[in-house]
This record gives sequence, C-alpha cells and structure tokens, in this order.
Amino acid sequence: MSTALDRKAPAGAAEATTEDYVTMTIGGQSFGIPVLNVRDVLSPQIITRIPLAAAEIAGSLNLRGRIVTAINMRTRLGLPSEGFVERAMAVVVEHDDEPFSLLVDEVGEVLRVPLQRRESVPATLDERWREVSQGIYRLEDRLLLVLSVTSVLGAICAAPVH
Amino acid sequence: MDDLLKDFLAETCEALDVLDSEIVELEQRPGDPALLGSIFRVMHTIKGTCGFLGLPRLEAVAHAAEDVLGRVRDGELTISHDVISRVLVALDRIKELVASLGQTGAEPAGEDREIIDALRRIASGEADAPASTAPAATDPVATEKKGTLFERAGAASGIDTACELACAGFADKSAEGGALESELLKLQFALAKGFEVALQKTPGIDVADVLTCLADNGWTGEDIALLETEIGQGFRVLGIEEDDIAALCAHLHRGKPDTAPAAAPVPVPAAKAPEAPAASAPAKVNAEKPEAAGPGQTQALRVNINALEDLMTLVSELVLTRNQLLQIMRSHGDSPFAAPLQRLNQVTTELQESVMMTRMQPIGNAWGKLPRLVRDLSQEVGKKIELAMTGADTELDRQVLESIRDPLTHMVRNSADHGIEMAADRLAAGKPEHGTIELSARHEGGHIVVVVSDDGRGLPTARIRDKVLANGLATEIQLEGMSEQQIQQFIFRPGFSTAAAVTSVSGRGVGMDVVRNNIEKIGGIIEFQSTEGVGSRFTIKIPLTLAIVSALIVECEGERFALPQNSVVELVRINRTTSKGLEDINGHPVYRLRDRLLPLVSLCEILGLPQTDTAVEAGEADSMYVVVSQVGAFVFGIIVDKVFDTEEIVVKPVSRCMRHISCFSGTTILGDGRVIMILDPNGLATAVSAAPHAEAAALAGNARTGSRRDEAVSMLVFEAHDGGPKAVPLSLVARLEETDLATAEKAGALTVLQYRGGLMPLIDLDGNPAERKGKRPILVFVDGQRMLGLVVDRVVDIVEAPLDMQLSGGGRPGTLGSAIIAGAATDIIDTVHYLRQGNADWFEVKTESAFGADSERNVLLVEDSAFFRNLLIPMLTVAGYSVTVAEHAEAAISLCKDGGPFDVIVSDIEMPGLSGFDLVRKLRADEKMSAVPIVALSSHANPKDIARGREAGFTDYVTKLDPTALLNVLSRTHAEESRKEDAA
Repeated sequence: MSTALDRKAPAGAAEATTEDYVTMTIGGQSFGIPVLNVRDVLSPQIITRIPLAAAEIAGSLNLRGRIVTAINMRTRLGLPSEGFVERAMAVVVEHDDEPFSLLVDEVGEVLRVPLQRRESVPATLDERWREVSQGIYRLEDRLLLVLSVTSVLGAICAAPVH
Repeated sequence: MDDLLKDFLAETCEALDVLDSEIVELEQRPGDPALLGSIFRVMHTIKGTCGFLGLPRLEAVAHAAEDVLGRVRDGELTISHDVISRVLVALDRIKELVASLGQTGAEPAGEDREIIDALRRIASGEADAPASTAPAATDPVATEKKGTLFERAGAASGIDTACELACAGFADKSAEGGALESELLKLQFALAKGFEVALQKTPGIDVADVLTCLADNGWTGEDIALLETEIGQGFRVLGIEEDDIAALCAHLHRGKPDTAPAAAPVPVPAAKAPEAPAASAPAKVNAEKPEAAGPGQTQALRVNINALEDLMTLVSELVLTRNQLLQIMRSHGDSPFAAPLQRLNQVTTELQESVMMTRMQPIGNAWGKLPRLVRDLSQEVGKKIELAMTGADTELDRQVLESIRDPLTHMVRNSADHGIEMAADRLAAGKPEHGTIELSARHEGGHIVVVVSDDGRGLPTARIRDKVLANGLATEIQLEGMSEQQIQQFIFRPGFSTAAAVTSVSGRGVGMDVVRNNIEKIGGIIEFQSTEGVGSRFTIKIPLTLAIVSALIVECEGERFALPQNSVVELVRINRTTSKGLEDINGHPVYRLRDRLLPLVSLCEILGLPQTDTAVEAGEADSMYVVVSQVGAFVFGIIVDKVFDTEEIVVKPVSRCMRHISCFSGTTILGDGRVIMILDPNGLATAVSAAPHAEAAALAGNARTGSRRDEAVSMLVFEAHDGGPKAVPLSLVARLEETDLATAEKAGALTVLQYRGGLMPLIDLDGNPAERKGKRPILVFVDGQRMLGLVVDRVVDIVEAPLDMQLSGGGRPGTLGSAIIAGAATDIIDTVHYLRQGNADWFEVKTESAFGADSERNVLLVEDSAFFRNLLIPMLTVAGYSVTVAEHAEAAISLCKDGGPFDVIVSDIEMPGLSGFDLVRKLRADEKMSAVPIVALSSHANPKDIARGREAGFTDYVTKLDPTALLNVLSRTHAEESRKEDAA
C-alpha cells in the first residue's frame, strides 16, 4: 500500500515564506523532508538484503518495477536497529536520478512551517546527526530536524565502506 | 550548437568512416567507376555542405580532395599510390577538423595550405590542363557526344553540383530563396535526386514532381521559374552543352518536354562553388521533402540513441510485469484471464525481440576503420598485407559492439605488426608475398563468433614457454603437463608480450590481457591458436545481447541470487553425509569431478552471509549443490544451498552505492516481484583465486588430455637405487603400493608377497629378487591371476609428456631409452623385460595355447613411434612371433609387395603421411592381401573409432598401451584362421 501524498503546492501569496515538510520519526526524534523531494511513502516492504554492501544499506526493494535501494536511517544515525527493517516505513526520494528509500519508524503528516523560524543545528549534536541535518524548527510540542537527502545519500554513494 | 551543424556532424562522421575503407578499396580496384562515383559524391557533399555552413577550412580541404578525385573520375589522372595517400591525408585533416568542430562548435584556427597545395599539385601534375578551380570543367569545343544524357550531364556528382549552384543562385536572387536557410540544402538534394530519377528512369520521385511539390507548398510561379533558370545556369557553368541543358530542363516539366524554360542566353562566367550566406527568416518550404527510395537505398530513420534506450527500458518493465502476471496465473489454474494473458505473453515476447532488433548493428560498423588501419600499418612497417573481411553484416547489440571495437582493432594491429612477416621473409618461407589477415563473423547459437586470423609467422610456443618461466607465471613441471595450446593462452596474462622489440605499433606489454578483460566483461570467451610458421588465430565468442539474459536462480542462507546461465557449465549435487569426492587442501574445499579437481567456493563465505543452523535442522543439509562455472578457461564450483529454475531476467544496473562490490554484475526483479542480485562469475572467480588463470590452464590441461590426439602420455616417474629418474607409462601400472618388505617371504629364488589372495613376485630394478627389508613403494603390474611387483625407492610424480625418445636403450637391459620428461633426462623402463624377469611364464602361457612350436607367425608391425616399436617388438618376439617392422605406411606397402607373406599385420592409426586407415584400404584393394588379418593399434579406442576401423577393413582394434589385449587379439585371429583352414 502506498500513500499518495497530498502535494498541495503553496498557493500564491504564501510562496517563499513557508515550506512544507513530510514529517517522520526515527528513534523517537522527529525529522522533516521537504515535500517536493518525496516521491512516495510505502508501508513495510519485502526488502532483499545485499551482502557485502555498506551497513546503512538495508537492501533493495521493488517499487512498481523500479529497483529502489533502501537506506536504514537508524543505522545511518547510529541508533540500534534490531528488527527495524521488517516493520519500517519507506520514504522514497531521488538522488542523482536514482531512487532511494529511507527507512524510518513512522511517517507523520505534511506540515507547513514558516521559513524564518528555521534555526541552525546545535553544534553539540552527534557528528552523524549534524552531517545530515540542515536546520531545526522549534514546534510547539517537539523539535523538527530538517533531513538533507543529499547529505544522507551523498556519503553512502561517494565513500563505499570496503 | 545548432541542429543543422549537429546533423552535418553526424552525417559527415558516418560518411568519413565509409570513405576510409572505400578509398583503400579504390587502391585495389582502381577501375571501379561505381566506387569512384560513390567516393566523389561523398567528398562533394562534404565540400558543399561545409561551404553552405560557412566552414572555410573544411571546405577548402574537401574541395582540393574533390578536385583530385574528379580528375581521377574523368580519367585525367590515374590512381597511384601517391594519389591515394594524399587523399587519405586530406581525409585525416577533415576528420580532425570535424572532431574539433564537434567539441567546440567551431572550426579551429589553422592552416591547411600544405595539404591543399599537395593535392593541387597532384591534380595538375599529370593533367595537361592547368589546375582549375572549377570542378571538372569540360572543353566546350569538344562537340562529339558520348554516353547518355545522364552521363553528359556529369552523372550524379555533376547534377548535384549543378543543383547546388542553382540553389545558391536562387537564394541570392529571390527573397523566397533567402528565407530558405537549411531547407535550401534539402531542396538541392531533392532536385539532384529528382534529376537522377528522371534521367536514369529509376522508380522514385523525379524532378518534375519536386517542382510540383514546391508549387503545392505555396511557391509562386515566379520563384519556380527563377529556380528553373538557375538550374539551367548551373549546368551551363559546368560546361554542359546548350542542347543537353535544354533536354535536361525539359525534364522539369512532365508531359511537355518541348517547352524549355527561358534560360538566360547570356553565358555566365564559370563560378566557384558558391558560399550561400545563411539568411535568417522563417522557412516556408515544407520540411517534408520528397524522400525518394531508389532500389539501392534502404529506408532508414535516424533515431536518437536515448529514445531507443528508453524504449528498451520500457520493454524490460513490460517483460517483468508479464513474468509477474504469468506467475500469478500459474497459481490460479483456470481463469478467464488465461487466454488474453497468453496473447499478451506472445506480443510481449515479439515486442521484446523487435526492440532488441533496433539495437542491433552490423558488426561491420566496428570494422570500418580497419582497412585503413591495416593499410597505414603496412606502409609504416613496410609489409604487404591484405585484409579480408567476411560476415560484416552479422548483427549484434550496440552495447556489445562498442565493447569489442577496441579489442578487435588491437588484435588486427597485432597481427599486422607481429604476425605477418616482411615480404622477403614470406617469399623465403614459400608463402605468397601478401600476408592476409582474415576477419570473419558469424552467428552460432545465440552467440557471435568473431575470428581474427593471419597467415603470418605464428607465435612460437617455445618463446611463450621461456617467457612464462622467466616471469614465473608457471613452473616447468606445470608447463610440462600443458599442451601447446594451453601454453599459448598465457599471452592473455598481464604484462605478457613476446615481441622482441617495442615498435610504435604494438608490443608495449599492454595488450592481450586488456583484450581478454574487455571480452570477458561482456560474458565472452577468447581463445588463441597458433602454429609456428603457419599463422595464428583468435576466436572470440560473445553473446548477442546483454540486456536480457537467462539466469539460474540459486539460494544461499535463504537469500536468492541469479547466476547468468552462460557461465554455468553443469550442476552437481553432493551428499553432505558421505561427501563422496569432497576433499580439502589446506582448508580449501575441492571436489573430484570425474577426471578433474574442481576448486570449490562457498557462496555464503564469499558474500559474508552469516551461517545459520536452520538448514541443518530442516534436514536439507543432506545435500548441497555445486554450480560448476566457467570464466574464460577457469572452471570452478560454487557451493549453494538450493537451485531453482532458470529465468529470463532483465539486467538492471546496480545502484551506485553498491557498484564497488565486484561479486554483482547487476540486479533484477523476479516474476514474484522480488528484487534479487545478479552474481558476476568474473568477480566470484577473482574471489576464488588471486590468479585463477594459472590454475585454469593446469586444470584445463587435465581435462583435455583425454581427448587430445597427440603423443602426450601419462608417465609415472620414479627413482630407484642407481639414481636418475625412471619412467613407465602409467597405463601399464595397475596399482601403486607401499609395503614393509619385511613382510615379504621367500619362495625358492624369488621374493614374494602375499597380495590380494595370491603371491606376487617382487623384483628390483636390476631384475633381482627384492631385498626383504624396509618400507618401499611397489609398482604392481597385473594380468589376470599373475602379478609382478617392481620395488622402487621413491615415486616422484605423474607427468603428462610427449614420448620423444632421445636416446636408445643402448643395450642396457630393462631400458628402452631415454627421454626428456619434466625437464630431466629420464630412462623409460622396458616393462616387458621386468615382466619376464619376475614371471617367466607371463607370455609363454599364451604362446603355448595359441601357437604350436612349429608355427612361427610372421607379423608386420607398422608403427611410427620408436617408443611403441621398442615396447612391442620384444613383447611380440617373446610371444613367439617373427616381427618385421615398417616405420610408415608406404614402407609397409612395399614390404607387403616384396617381402612377406605376413600372417597378420599390426598397424598404428595416426601416422605421418598415409594413416592406418589409408594403409588398410590400400592393402585390402590388393587381392593377395585382402584376407590377411590387420589389427589396428591406436592410443584411443572409443566405439566410434572402432566402428570406423572396421569399416575401413581392420580385423580388430586394440589400444596401444594394452599389450595383453594385443596378444589376445593376435591369438584369436590366429585361431579363427586355423578354424577356417580346418573347415576347408
């Protein structure tokens, strides 16, 4: 089952002042990815393990005939991931014309936040976290970290662990 | 870069490729007008287009070359080596310019004066008339008319030029024409083609149709009239006579040939091919110019490669979806969807094939540059070389084609540089002066087989051997066990070059290994064969396509993988509990598969999959599967847990983040929608062994000797007290034992051992009863109930070696002679001698039963190998035969005529000159000899050989290394003879 996202474009006047994020949780932390970067959200899938691949690579899955590489976001962020892959939701994004799916705990709603409220990531954060975060929003009930798809995937694609 | 320029580049590049080979061809067939016409036309088109596009350098060079070709065509210049070379130089410059044009979109700055002047000199040098800038202007005084109107009008190229002039003039004079831009070129071609159609009366759209088409497209009468005038003018410029021009113009109007347009009567001075300024205004002419399809022209469409690739991807998706549907279908049994699904299946398959076809290109495309290359090379190194190409239209996938282009070029270059000898050397060797390189391609069961062969000096195996030893690629012993062909495969090893000197052409030590890698990367196989002095041959076998392959699905620790079927040789199931044939060497598992030792590798281990116990619990551990795979010549086994079906899979590239894993060549989606990885046999092979190919050669050696028809024999090498290695043909030895001789007993003068319920006499190498002490190896010879043990000091090795007796035994008892085995002088022992020593009645028993004391039989032994003569003569003599020997069939025939009579003839099959079959046919033809029993003696005896032998007239067929069988056969034939005599 794939949830088609409601991609309502920011209408007229609102443009450039707000940004829409798909929110998700990874290990209890809220993250957001700009909605236009997200191609698809999938329920837990059959994922084929790839031997010898980097630890973050959970495997490959079949998205309507396209082969999508699944990235275990828990491992990517240095969190424990026992039994995670089997029940994880998949957020499909594109990087360099290649589809990837980010495995996360849960996918939440699409949230519109004003751009000016974006703050920089605290310097004390774990290196792995800082590397993939582009900024942070203070929401009323929680903090929302902005996930940079390029940073998440760039490191995996560029420096093969081998 | 604008589209017009892009089109020009694409067309010109293609045309240049063709020109290269055509010009070289022209040198060989100077009188071929069609060829010359074609070359001229191409050069002319390049020139014309360049002028039109405002590329002065290109135009000037092309123009000068065209002039030369024009003079050749008009018979004013004969084709000489020099002419061709100059034109080729010009062609090279054009290529350079075009290449740089492709990169930068503009002509590079520079000077071509030298080339142009050289061409001018050639054009004018032999011609009486001074070089003229006008293309091939004919003398207007010459009034005598020759040829058809088409020829008088300057044939295709002349007409083309006239049309070009006309269009340029038209563009200058008419507002309409100025707005034409790129359409002008199309108009020009359409007109030229139209004239050709009209004059040659070939089917197609003639020039009148073209004008009608223009009118239909909204051209005014004035414009058309102006164009007509300009056409007439164009011909006039070219020096066509007025009445011919009138006739030509008449063709512009169908049905009213007499109303020639009002051609301007004023003679216009000869003009150079005009450079039409590119005006900028929207074109009015319909882009759809009539495209005539003459008989010699195939209807083709230029399609962007990307569009084709996209189409291919879509079809791949469709195939996958189809597979999925079929899978669901299978589990549902009867369903109303069955019939339409079947249809969909069929259509998809057809569609897939059609799309694959669009990607197919003739292999000739990869060859196009080779004639030129060979010609240049032969010039450079001063050899005479011909390149013969067959099967250039064999089609294969674009991707595959690209991958073999460079390897092919490399091999042809190698052949030309190293293979073919200098003309003088060739003559001295009794070969034709011209060396020939043959390039051929053909389809063979889903593969393309490409052969590059030359009739040059070949690769001396000895030199490869030396080099192998020098580089430490293999030991002498290993080499000893290899056939000539296996040694030759070493040229594919990195850094291997046998060229004594590095030339500018090849021999830099980079080469054949790269070639092999490229070929193997696309799942191909390359083999090399060479005979010194006769030539060498590369055989390449490559798959037709890479996009869709058949793959075997295997499972390991619950994970499935696809293994391309083309690398799978066979599947073996091994029972884990008995694990028969499974052994390990220093922890590395190997498997005895029939006559070879197969290195094994566990897929789980290579892929680092965690080993679980689930398989054991499930009871599936009883058996495991070995997928025997072959990469090049390297054969190895991959251990997997389960083997499933084979499936047609669509190969998709591996994600970028996993591309570094060499074990995977791609990924795919199975019929059930699961994603699986495609294993790369090459990568796996590398994981098995760092240097798989050394092993490969050795393995292949063991595997092949069984079927090779050469003199290589398995020899058991051992040592005995007096030093120096000794050898005995392995097939004569029944068993090898190691026994404590203290357990042996004394029986009379003999030392005997209780062995397998009998008594076996033991002797040492001097023929004396063996000493009864110490643990020693024993070579056991067995015949029925009789046994003999030969006690030796040490068994060294078993070696495959050709039996080439260097020294005779020199009367030493027990020695047949000496040969070089494994690099050392080795005595070959005379088995028969020892058998007699140990067991005096070994042969006597038979002789007594078969022959009376008075009936000594005459045997003629025809055998070319000294070894076997030496082995058989004593044996036959001992058995009571009187033996006459012939070393070859011819000698045997004359012996039969003059000597004899012989009671029985024993003949070898494989002999130089007349073979055994020839001999027996000849003998059978002779009435005197028709009834004599003739026994064939051969190193091979399979049922087919035996049948063939009997057909040829042999009475019986015996294996060489089975002397007792020979004796049996001889006594049997004798018995039959006697019976016949008795009956008579």
